[in-house]
Amino acid sequence: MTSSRPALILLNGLTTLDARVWERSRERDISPDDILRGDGKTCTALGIPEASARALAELAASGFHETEQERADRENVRIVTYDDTAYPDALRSLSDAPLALYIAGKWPLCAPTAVVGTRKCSSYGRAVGMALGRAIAQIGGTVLSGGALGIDASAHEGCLDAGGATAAVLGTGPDVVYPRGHERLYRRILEGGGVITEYPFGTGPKTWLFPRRNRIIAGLAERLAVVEAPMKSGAMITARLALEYGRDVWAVPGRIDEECGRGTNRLIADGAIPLVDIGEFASIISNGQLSLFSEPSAREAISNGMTDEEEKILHILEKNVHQTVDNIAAEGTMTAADVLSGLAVLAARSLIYQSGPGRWSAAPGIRKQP
Amino acid sequence: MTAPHLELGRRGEDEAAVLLSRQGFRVLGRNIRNRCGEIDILAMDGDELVVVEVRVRSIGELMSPEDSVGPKKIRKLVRAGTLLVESKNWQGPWRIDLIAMTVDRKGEWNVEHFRDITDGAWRP
Amino acid sequence: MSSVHGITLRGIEAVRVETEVEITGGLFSMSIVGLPDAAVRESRERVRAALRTEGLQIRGRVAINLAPADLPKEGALLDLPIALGLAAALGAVSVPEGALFLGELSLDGRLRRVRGAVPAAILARKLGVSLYVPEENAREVSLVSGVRAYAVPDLATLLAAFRGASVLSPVEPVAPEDEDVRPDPDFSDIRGQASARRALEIAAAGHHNVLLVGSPGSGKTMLARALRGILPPLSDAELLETLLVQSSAGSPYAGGRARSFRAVHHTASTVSVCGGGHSVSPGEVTLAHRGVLFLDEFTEFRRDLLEALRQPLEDGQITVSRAAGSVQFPSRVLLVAACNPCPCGWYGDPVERCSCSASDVDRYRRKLSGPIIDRIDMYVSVPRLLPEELMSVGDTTPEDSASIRARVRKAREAQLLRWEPSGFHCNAELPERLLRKSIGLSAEARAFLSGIAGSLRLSGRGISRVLKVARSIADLAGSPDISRAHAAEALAYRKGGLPV
Repeated sequence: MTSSRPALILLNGLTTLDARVWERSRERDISPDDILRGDGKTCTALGIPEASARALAELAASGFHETEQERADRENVRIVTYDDTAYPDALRSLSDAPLALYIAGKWPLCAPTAVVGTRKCSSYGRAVGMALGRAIAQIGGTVLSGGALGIDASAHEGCLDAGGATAAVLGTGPDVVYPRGHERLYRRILEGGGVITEYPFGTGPKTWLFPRRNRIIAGLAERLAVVEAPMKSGAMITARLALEYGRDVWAVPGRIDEECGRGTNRLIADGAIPLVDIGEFASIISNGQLSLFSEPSAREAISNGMTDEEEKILHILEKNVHQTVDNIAAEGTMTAADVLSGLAVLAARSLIYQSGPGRWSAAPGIRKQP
Repeated sequence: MTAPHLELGRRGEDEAAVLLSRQGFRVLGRNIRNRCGEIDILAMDGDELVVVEVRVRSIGELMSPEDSVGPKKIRKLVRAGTLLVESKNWQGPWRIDLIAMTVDRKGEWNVEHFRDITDGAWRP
Repeated sequence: MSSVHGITLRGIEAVRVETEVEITGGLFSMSIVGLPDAAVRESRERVRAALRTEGLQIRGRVAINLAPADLPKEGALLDLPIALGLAAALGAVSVPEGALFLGELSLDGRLRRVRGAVPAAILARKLGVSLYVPEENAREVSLVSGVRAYAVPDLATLLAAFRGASVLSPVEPVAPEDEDVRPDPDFSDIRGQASARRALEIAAAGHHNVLLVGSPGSGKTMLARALRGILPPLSDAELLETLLVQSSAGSPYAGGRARSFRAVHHTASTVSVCGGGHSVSPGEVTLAHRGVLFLDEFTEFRRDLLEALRQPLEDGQITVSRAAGSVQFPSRVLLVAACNPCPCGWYGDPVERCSCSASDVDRYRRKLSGPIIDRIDMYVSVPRLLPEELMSVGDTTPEDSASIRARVRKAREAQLLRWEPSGFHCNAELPERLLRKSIGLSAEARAFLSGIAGSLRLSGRGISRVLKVARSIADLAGSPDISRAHAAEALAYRKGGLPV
C-alpha cells in the first residue's frame, strides 16, 4: 500500500491547505499516487483553486515531498503527518487540522499549558509571563507558546530558567528564526524542549501565516493562560479558539485604562478564569500534586544564603511595586550602597526585577503572601 | 610752438624736480630713455634709488593724475627701472615714486607725492 | 644671513623652525618660503609695520626661508622670530643663539598671545635652550618646570634687552593649587536620586564610563552636569597633559586643577569631535582629555560619528592623518552618555504610558549596542521622581558636591599610589593582567562572584568591568580589599540591569 505520507507532505507544502482537503480525497476516492502526480483533474476534484493547482504541480514535479523528507532526516526533524499514529489526537478533532507537523526536539509534549499574550507587553506583563513559565516548569508541565516577542518569549524564558521543557509553535519554517535577535532563545528552546510548525523548511515570516498557528497552540494545549492582550490581537484569537475547543482559559486581570488590559479583562468578563495568584494556578492545574524534580525549587533557594539586608529589601518590594532606591533606602533605613548591593543579588536570582528606569518590584508568585 | 598739454607736462616735471631737491633728494637725471620705456626723473633718497613718474592734469579732466597710472604703466616702469638699475650695476634698494600734480584755473599747483607705489606687491 | 629659531605645532608637539633672512638690493618685495600657511604669509605686513614703529625700515628684496622646507608651517607665532631675523639682518640687534622665540605681532609692535606656548616650553626644556614668549602666555609657561623662559610685552622691550639696555626677568615656575570649583549644578541642588548620586561618585572616583538611562524629566542631564563638580583634581602628570592640549588649542589657562567637561551635541561634525580639519586642531574628545565627554541624547548620534569615536576611546589617543604625515592627540576621557529608555521616553514610567511598539523598542535598543556602548563600565537607570516622592525625600539638604568630592579625591589618591608605578592613573584604565593580579579581591568576594557569574551570563569582559567598579567602590570605602558587599554593589551597575 502506498503510504500517504508523501502526499500529505506535498499538499502541506502549499501552506494553504488543511485536513479538509484530505477528507475530500477520501470521499472522492483519490489515491495518494494521484495526488503525487499533481495533475489538473486531481486538483479540481480536490477543490484546489487553479493558481494553487499550478503551484502544486510544480512542487510535485520537483519532488518536493522527497527533498523535504531527506532534509528532515538530515537535520533531525520529524515530520508527523495526519495519518501517523504519533499525530496528536487533540489536533485531529479540529476540522481544519494541519496536514503535517515539522517537529524538532522533544515529542510528545507532557502536560502542555499554553501561555500567550501581546508582543507589546509592559515590564509587569513580562514578569508575570516569566513567573508563569517558571511555575509551570516547577510542576513538571510544558510551556507552550508562539516564540514571539513579549509575553511568549518571557514565558519560554521563565520555563527554561527553571529547568523546564517548553515548546514553541512557529509561524515560519523549522529552520527560520523570527524575529531577529531570538537566535539565542531558539537554541535554548531546542535544547530544553522543542519547536513545532506546520510550515516547510525555508518558509519565511509572512503576516498571513501567523494567525493559522494559533489553532495549533489552542489545539495542542491542555489549557491556556493569557497574560496581556489588547482587544484585537493574536492572543485573543488563540483564547477564543481554545474556548471553542473546550479548553480551560485563564486570564490575568489588567489595568482598565491600558490597551493591553482590555482583551484579558474582556475574557474574564466573558467567563475566562481570573488568574490572580500564580501559586494557586500552579496548584490547580497540577491537581494539587507537586511533581518531584531534581533541582532545588526557587522556594528552597530563597531561604538559602539571603542576607538580612536582602531579606529586608525583598520584604519592602513585596509590599509595594515600582520602588526607587530612595524609597527603599528611606523605608529600610539603609544606605544607597547597601540597597544597590542587595538589589543586584536579588535580581540575579530573579526574585525581583526592574519595572521601569530606576524602579524595582518583586517578581510575582515567588513567595506565598502572608 | 608746442601743444599746450605737453607744455604743461614739462612744467610739471620742472616743478617736481624742485620739490624733490627741497625734500633732500639728489636728482640724478631726467627723461632717461631705454628700450623698456622712459623714466621721468631719477633721484637718490638717502641710500635708496628712486624712479619718479610725474603726472600732470588740469582740473576738470576726467581722470585724476594718480589714477592714470594703471597696472600696465606700472609694469612698464618696473621694467624700465630694472633695466636701468642693472645697466648701472646698482646693488642697493630702489623704489618707484609717483608725483601727481593738478593745476587749477588760476594756475595754482596742487602736488601729491606717493612713495613706493609697488610696495612689495610686485613679485620678481 | 641670520637665523632665528621659532616653532610650528604638529598636534600637541612643538617642532623647531629655523627662520633665515636675507636682504639684497632691488625693488622692495618680501617673500616667505617653506610651506607657510595663510597666517604665516600675512606675517609680512605685521612684521614690517612692527619694525617700522621701531624705526627700522625694510627696503630691498627680502627673502625669508622657514626650514625645514618640507614641514608645513602654521600660525602667526612665527611673527617674532621673523621680525628678529629681519632686525638682525638690518644690523639693528644681535640675537642670542639657539633660543626659541614665539609670538604674534600687532602693527604697533605689541606681542600677542599664541597657541603652543606649553609645547614650546617642553621643547625648550628638551633642547636646553631659553624660551621667549608673549607676556599673555607667561601664566601657562610658568606651570612647566625646568625651563628658562622670559615673557615679553612687545618687540621694543625685547630689542632693548638684546642691545643690552635692559634686563629681562625670567618667568617664575609655579605649582598650581587645587582651587575650589563652584559647581553648577551642585549635588545639593538635586533632590533624591540616591542611586544615581552613588553611581556618579563611583564613576568620578575610578574614571568609569557611565550610561544614564531615564525618562524626560528624570533629571539625567542635570546629574551628568553635576558630575563635573565632584571630579578629583588633576595630578601633576595629568595637569601637564591637559596644559599641552589646551595650549595647542589656544585656550587660556584658567588656573587650578579642574578637569575639563565637554558636552557634545548630536549634530556635531566628526571633525569637531575627533579633530583634524584644515589646521589639524584637536577635537572635543581631545579637549576632554583626563576629563568628561558628555554625549546627551546618545541614540540621536550618527553611526559614523560613533564609529569614529571607537579608536580614541579604546586607545586613549587619536591619530589624525594628513598628506604631510600623521599627528597624535591624547583622548583618555570619562565618557558620560544619556538616553531615554525607549523612543517615546516613557517606558516603565509609573504614570505616563509608553506608546512604542515592540519593534520600535527593539530597534532603539539596537542603537544602544556597538563600539561606544561596549566601553561603558556603569549602567545607571534614573527614575523620574513623582511629586509625592520628592516630598517624602524630606527637608534635609542633600549632600553637597564638595563633600562628595573630598571622598572621591581620597579614593583617587589611593589609586595613584597603587597604580602609578605601573604607569596608570585610575581603575578604569587598568589592563587585564593587572586586574587579575593586583586587584585585591577577597576570598569571600571571589566565591560570591564565581557563584553568581554563571546565572548572570557575564562575559569575560563583563567580569573585568565589574571588578574595576568593585575596586573603585572599595577605594571609596577606604578598604584595601574588595569585600562581598563591594562586589555585589558593582553588579548593580552592569549591563542587563536595564529594563527590557
